[in-house]
Amino acid sequence: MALTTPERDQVHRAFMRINTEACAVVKSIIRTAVDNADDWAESAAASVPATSYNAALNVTFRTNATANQKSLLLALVCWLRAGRPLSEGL
Amino acid sequence: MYFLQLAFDASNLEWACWQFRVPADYASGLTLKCVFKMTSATTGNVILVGRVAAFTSNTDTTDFDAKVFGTANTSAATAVPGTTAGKLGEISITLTNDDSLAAGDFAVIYVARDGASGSDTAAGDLELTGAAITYTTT
Repeated sequence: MALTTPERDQVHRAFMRINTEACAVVKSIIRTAVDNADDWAESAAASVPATSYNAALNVTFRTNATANQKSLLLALVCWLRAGRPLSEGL
Repeated sequence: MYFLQLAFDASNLEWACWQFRVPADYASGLTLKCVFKMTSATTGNVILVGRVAAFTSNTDTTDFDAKVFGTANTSAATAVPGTTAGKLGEISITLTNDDSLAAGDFAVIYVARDGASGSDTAAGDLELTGAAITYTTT
């Protein structure tokens, strides 16, 4: 099941708190990328997705984020989709 | 890293404060200079807020425990230092709302990053490495 808006907001906050690599995108772009990642995970859960994870990300995030940052984003989305809590402070 | 810094969140308003006795030569022009860097952001803007609580000892009759800060002084949305995360930048906030601060007062200065503001667009923590007060002397 797709994340709720508060859960997506939580992923957004957690990403910004955990990430330490240089980040050349603003908050709103990251928040949109959270939507993109969760939507992609939702589609991938039902059937083979039509697009790759990378292609599902908004172009600004896709072209500026590192591979580690994209992995971190997907990991956080999947962690919450699995019903797992984030640590206190995240 | 051999220095102290305060991390201010990107999603919430977080603040810290310091207290001191206002120097005897203070006249006007209270200004807060904040030196900062970003943990990761190399683009976007940040918003800092300065507030003042001033108390004249032996004169003011209110309970200092109940003292509230004066009206907020908010910086312009200011671009982060640039293409290198960790590069130092400085934001100057004119503390126009100075709670009638005067020489000899006991003062508390508040500094915050308003990460919840829609105009604060930079991702990740802001790291406050230093803050200073400047003013015009008598």
